Amino acid sequence: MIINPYFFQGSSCATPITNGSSLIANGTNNVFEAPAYGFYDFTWSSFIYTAGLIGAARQIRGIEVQLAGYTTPYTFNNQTIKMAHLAPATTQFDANPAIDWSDMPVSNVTIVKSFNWIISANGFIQILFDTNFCYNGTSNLIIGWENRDGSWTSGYGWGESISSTHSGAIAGQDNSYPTGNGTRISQRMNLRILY
Amino acid sequence: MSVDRNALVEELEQFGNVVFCDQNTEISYLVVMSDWTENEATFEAIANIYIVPFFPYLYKLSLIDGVLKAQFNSEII
Repeated sequence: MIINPYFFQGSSCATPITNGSSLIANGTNNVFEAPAYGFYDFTWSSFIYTAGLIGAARQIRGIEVQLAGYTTPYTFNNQTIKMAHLAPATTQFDANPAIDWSDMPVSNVTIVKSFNWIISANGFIQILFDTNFCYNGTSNLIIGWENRDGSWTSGYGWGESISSTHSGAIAGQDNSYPTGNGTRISQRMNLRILY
Repeated sequence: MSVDRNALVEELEQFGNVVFCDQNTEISYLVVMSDWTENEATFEAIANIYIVPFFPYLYKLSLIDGVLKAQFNSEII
């Protein structure tokens, strides 16, 4: 049997859950595309969090993202969140970030959550994972958010973020999920990790 | 003062069907048209009169298969 190393994730994590949390990005910039953008039928966003922001090895069991401006309730259907380790030397997206991360030295790519997202309030919104991510304590962390809702709806707001050179990447279009390359941005989405 | 939606819709309807034309949030105004028969410049000329004085920053504009979508913001983002 051939196991794709980019998608293999062991079933056990040596690091226990501690019911802790850390706010690893916290700014006041407004980014409509983070984490999903209601203007388009389909969107993608991805953000890099360097190892120093995260700390020790952790079993990440969820995240919180900070939203504002949404008319609630607002629903994004067919959402997928991915996490992966990113080689320590890579701290930014390149000029033409590939939506499938094929240009990034990633490992342990894990689909941590697949869900229909009903946003019932603005502020920090908690998302508990279906599959925990076993963070190794040394690599950078990359998060990908696939919005495959397939339709747009008014009332969408934005995500809060902090300025950080080339730490984000976005894409969006109508009718079909974007492929190829996105656009890098100098924003890092506000994020609290739960572990 | 705010966007004169009725006048804006009247102008837009000369060139397509208005699907949505209203504020999306307190800082954004959204227009979605179907069967848009003109180009983007025609839309922008109309928007410059009715939307831009209140939402000066064009954030996104797409025109695919006759569906025109535009988001204007009241602040730089």
